[in-house]
Amino acid sequence: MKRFLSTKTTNRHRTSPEKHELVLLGSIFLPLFLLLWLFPGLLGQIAAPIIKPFLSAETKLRQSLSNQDQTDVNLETVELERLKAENTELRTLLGGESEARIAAGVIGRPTNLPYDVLVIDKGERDGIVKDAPVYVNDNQAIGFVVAVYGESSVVALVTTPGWRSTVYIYGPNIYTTAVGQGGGIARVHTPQGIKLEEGNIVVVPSLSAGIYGRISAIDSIPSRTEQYGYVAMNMSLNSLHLVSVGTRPLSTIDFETAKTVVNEAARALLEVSVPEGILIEAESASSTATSTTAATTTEVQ
Amino acid sequence: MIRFIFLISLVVIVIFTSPFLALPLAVWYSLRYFAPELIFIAALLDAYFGAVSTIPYYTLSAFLVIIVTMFIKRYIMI
Repeated sequence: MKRFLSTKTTNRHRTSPEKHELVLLGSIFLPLFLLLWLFPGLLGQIAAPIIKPFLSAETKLRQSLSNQDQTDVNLETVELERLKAENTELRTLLGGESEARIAAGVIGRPTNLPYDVLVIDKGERDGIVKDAPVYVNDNQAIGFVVAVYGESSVVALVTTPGWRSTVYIYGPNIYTTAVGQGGGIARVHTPQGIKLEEGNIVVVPSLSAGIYGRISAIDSIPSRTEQYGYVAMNMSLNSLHLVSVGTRPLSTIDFETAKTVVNEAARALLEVSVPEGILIEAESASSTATSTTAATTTEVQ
Repeated sequence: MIRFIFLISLVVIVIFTSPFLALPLAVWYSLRYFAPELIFIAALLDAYFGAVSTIPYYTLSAFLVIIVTMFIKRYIMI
């Protein structure tokens, strides 16, 4: 009897550290959960200066590793070529005259990050605003800014898992809804009779301008009543180094505005972004002649 | 010191690789130590990256990992 009672007392003492640990866990978890739910931006502002250095360091490490791969080539030449390519890319990104934009470097890509988002190295101090559209190349919109911190911002992509966007598909010429699947892919879901083809161009009217991507694969079984088309951007997310960010936040658009955007994107299909100096137009030919004459005159003097 | 190094390694792995790769390491870390700091780190990740989601998956997962490892720890010799 006495032995049984002493055994029961020992068991009671053994469980009390676990109860303390449970209470401690609950006291940490509940306030953090409430803070995330009610004031997510506040905790994000605390997290930003801790997480951003990790992302920047990883980006620099990748760049230095890719430079080290060039073992037989002069590193200065490699760096010069990289800077030239970056300069050209920046000119393309910021060359549009329709809207002022801010160039930003990509320091985190969806395939490497939690939640399949893009992280850029510009934030509130650089003029980035929440809900601003994000572009690659001249007019290819890929998403919008969903969180802004001091020196970095988080961009939600059209392909962020679960996110829905209205798209227009050229070819069948239909409006439909694309649902993000992650990893740079969105999926459209249409009835079997719609003629989806690989290569059909896709536009996202709510992202203001430009072609988003193309249908890269189709999942269609004739016996099923529906089919799926997978939309991919024209470029790989892993090759994204620079983006441009609009200065005005996106706003919801009506159907008439969506039709206008679709029509303008259709006209833009015939245009190609030709670098400066290569595209010859009437105005640029005469200005080139004038500058050449001026140079000659200067040399004679 | 070793615990701190493991923690930093876990943070790097969870940020830059798949969460399914970080999960067994987090389980091992939680079995080895009592680790409420995992919840705090997960909350920071949810706060920074998780603006696209309504549910803080990393925080909930960290809490569950610690709770489960607390109860299975008594059956495992560490």
